[in-house]
Order: sequence, then structure tokens, then C-alpha cells
Amino acid sequence: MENKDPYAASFDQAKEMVNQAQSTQGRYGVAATAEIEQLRREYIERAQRRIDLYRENEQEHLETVIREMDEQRADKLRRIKFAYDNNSMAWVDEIFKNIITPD
Amino acid sequence: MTQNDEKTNNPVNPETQKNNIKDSVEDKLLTEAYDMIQQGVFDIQSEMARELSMHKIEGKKEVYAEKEHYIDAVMAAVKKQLLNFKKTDAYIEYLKKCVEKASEKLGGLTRIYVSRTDRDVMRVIFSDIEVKQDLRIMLGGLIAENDGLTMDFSFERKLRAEREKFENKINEI
Repeated sequence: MENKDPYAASFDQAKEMVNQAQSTQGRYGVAATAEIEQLRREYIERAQRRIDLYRENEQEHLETVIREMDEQRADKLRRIKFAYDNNSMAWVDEIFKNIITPD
Repeated sequence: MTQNDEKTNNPVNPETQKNNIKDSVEDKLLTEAYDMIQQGVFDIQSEMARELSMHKIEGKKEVYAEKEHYIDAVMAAVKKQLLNFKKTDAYIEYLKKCVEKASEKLGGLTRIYVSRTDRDVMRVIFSDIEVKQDLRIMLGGLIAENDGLTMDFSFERKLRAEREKFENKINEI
């Protein structure tokens, strides 16, 4: 058996320990990365579900608001038409009289 | 052996270390998820606000167009009445009253502006006042002047003023 310099021997031993540690850490790291990825996917899916739900509620609210606005507009247009149909001749006469009155 | 030596010689349990890492990763993921939701909510709110605003504008345009349609119809009927009125003696009487009123208010008259079609008849009626044609007067009426002061009795000006009043009236419906 070859006699080794004690310094070289302890250097080899330290090197071996580092290799082992790196190997263990590597294996652990791969497993941890997969777990983290899985966790990340779950969080993103949950967040996305919350967003989708919010969108659904907001869309529903928007449709209600738009429907009310459309009804109000239709009502306004009906009122204008009714007023025109019933008063247009009177309006014309009134405006005409105002114009031919010297003031 | 000191406390530090104990720490050095007793490394953290791998399971504990793993849980610590997991906790820290979960914190980070929670923050990411929170940011993602915040951004999503902001995007949705902006999108909905945009859609609502566009719908409002479209609605206002529709109502405005409908109002304009009725206002135009009324004003067209008024114009037609004015054109018929111009063919009557009452129109000449109207012009005379305008001249009287302007003269009274302005302390006399130096010039009268009328449309091309009224110029000749007005020159005959008001021989003592200069009667000139004004291209701005197309429908009828007149603009009276005394030393730079004027009074506008043109149908154009009155029609514009009446349209404005009528628009306000329609807007109140």
C-alpha cells in the first residue's frame, strides 16, 4: 500500500465528502423543483379560477347595467317621438310667431 | 463545548430544512398569485369600463341623432312657413315694423341691409335710407344700422336663436 502524505489524504477525503454532498443535494434539488412546480401550478390555477369568477360576476353586472341603459334610452326615444307626434304643429307655429315678431 | 460548536456539529434536520424552504416558496407563490389576481381584476375592470363607456356613447349618439331628426323636421316646417310668409303683404308690414323699432332703439337709421329679393321693394318704401344687399341674408328680414350700431332682424339670426331654444326644450323631454 502506498504511503500517502497526510495532507494529501485529508484533501482526498474532503473532496470525496463534497462530491457526496453535491450528489445528495442534486437529488434533493430535483425532487424539490418538481414539488415547487406542482405547487406553483396549483396556486396559478386557483388564482385563475378567482379571476374567472370575478369576470363572470362583472360581466353579469355589466349586462344588467347595459340592459337598464337600453331600456332608459328606448323610453327616452319613445317620449321624444310622442312629444313630436302630438306637438310638432304647435312647435312650428310658436317658432314661426317668435320669428315674425320684431323684437 | 460552546453553543456555537453545538450548532455547527448538529446540522438542521433535512425535513425541517425542506419545510422551511417550502414555507418560503409558498410565501412567494402566494404573493405571485395575489399579484396575478390584482392584475386580472384591474384588466377586467378596465375592459368592462371601456365596454360600458362605448355603449353609453353609442346610446347618446342614437338619441342625439333622433332629436336632430325631429328638430330638423320642425325647423324645415318653420322655414317653409317663412317662405310662404314672404309672399304676403304681412311680410312688408313686418319689415316696416322692424325699421321703426330699430330707428327708435338706435336713434335713427343710416342704412338697411336686406336680401337680394327684398332690396328693390325696400328702396321704394324707404327712399330716405340707404338700402343695401347683404349676402348673409338669404331667407329674409333685415339688419338695421345707425352709426356703426346694428340691430339684426334677419330670419337667419332668429332661426338660429329659435333652434337653440328649441334644442333646449327637446333636451328637457
